[in-house]
Amino acid sequence: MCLAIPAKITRIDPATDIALVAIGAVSKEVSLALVEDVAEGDYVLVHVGYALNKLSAEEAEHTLRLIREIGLLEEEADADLVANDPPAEDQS
Amino acid sequence: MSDPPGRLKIQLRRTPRGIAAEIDSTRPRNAAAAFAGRTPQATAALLPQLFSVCSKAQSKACVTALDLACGFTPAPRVEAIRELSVAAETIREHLWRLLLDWPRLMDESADRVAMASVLSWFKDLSAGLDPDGSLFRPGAGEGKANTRLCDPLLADIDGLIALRLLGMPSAQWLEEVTDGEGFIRWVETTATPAARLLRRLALSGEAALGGSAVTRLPEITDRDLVARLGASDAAGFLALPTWDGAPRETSPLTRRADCGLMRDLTAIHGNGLLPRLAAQLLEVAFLVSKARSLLATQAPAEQPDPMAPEPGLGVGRSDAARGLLIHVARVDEGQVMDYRILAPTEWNFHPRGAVAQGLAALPDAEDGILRRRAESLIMATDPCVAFELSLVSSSGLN
Repeated sequence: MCLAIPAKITRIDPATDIALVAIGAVSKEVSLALVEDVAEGDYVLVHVGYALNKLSAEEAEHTLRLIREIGLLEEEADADLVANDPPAEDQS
Repeated sequence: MSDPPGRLKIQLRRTPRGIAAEIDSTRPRNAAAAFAGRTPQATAALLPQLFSVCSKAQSKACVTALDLACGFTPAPRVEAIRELSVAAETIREHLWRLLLDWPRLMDESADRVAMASVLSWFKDLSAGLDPDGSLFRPGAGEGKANTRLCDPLLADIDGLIALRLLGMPSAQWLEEVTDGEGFIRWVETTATPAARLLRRLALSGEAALGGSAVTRLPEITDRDLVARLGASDAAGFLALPTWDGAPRETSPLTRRADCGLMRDLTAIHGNGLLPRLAAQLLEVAFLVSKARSLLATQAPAEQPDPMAPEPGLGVGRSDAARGLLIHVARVDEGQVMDYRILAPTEWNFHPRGAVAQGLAALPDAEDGILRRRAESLIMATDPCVAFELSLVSSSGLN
């Protein structure tokens, strides 16, 4: 069962094509190398360190709501966590 | 929970008797419970949003199970287009490995430009195959695939695969690389990173690394599956599945085990590293040809059992990129009462399974070499989640 989680882009470093994204209350770095035309504020699907494709805010919220419903994502927990999941070192 | 997809934590430990391997998974196994209480239509609509990595394979297993449980019989053309969608998704998933991970195994750069093209190709093809999003809904009609749009897209991906991987079109590769001799000829005469990696493995003596005694998952009847998933320890089975008391493997390697090339490679190298990687490459070539055939004939290659194991119960299978995906749905009075998913990663990365045994069989070596070999074996079997690999030596974690 392979979940890809909608994440909101909060910052983009154009020099490295790396974005900081928010998944619930957790921040992660992901590579934007595989997607085009994304901007801060957009939602993307994230899988093993890469942004896969852009989602509408409505689609993203719908999926996140479902993931929360089944207890796999908590909004308030881990507020201080910053998880790095760089594609070159930790991926499947 | 800060990591909804979960991950595999894989630890290698040096012991006086050799390498010990431990695999611990934090993957969620009960996410399918979210579908209980919903209608079959709502379930089929929600499922690909949740399981979006292999959403076509998940959707096909889902709709097969729900169609059976609800008494719907899909049209052959719809079945064929569903198979084609899954084949395209498996091509995309294997290309992820081949273009992003295989170059890294040779300390070369991942081919992200080509992979971005693959993602764009898959998006366009999916839009052509399923323009209104109804293909994987229970009781789908004839489907609205725009097959004229899809034909040139399959030619495009074949061109990319020829340029970046095979050095020739898929159909030609399948004609030329039919056995071990053809494979050696190909790796010796082709300059793509994929061919160079396989040539290096063959020459370095690492081709058989990571072999195990784990055998392939046998054919299991719907009735046996339903009985197993209805047992009191079903949750444990879904997390750590075994069959006839033994861990099993379901992967491209086991799926292609009967073709001439794989028979020759496994006769020499067992189920080690080289045959595992070669199976992924073979599957890309095979599925491009299969996709073209499905598009041309619009007749399904698979013939699922049209009979539900019992009224209101449906079993759906799908050949996902990592192996066999199984869904079981129970529907009563228009509502999903129970939904179970058994995914290939649970078989292949079982704590006593093919990867665990293969890692434990690696010869001890200096940390860097041991880590590279372990990562190669893990990638060659391909979990669908991130993994963390740690080495424990006498001085502690590395």
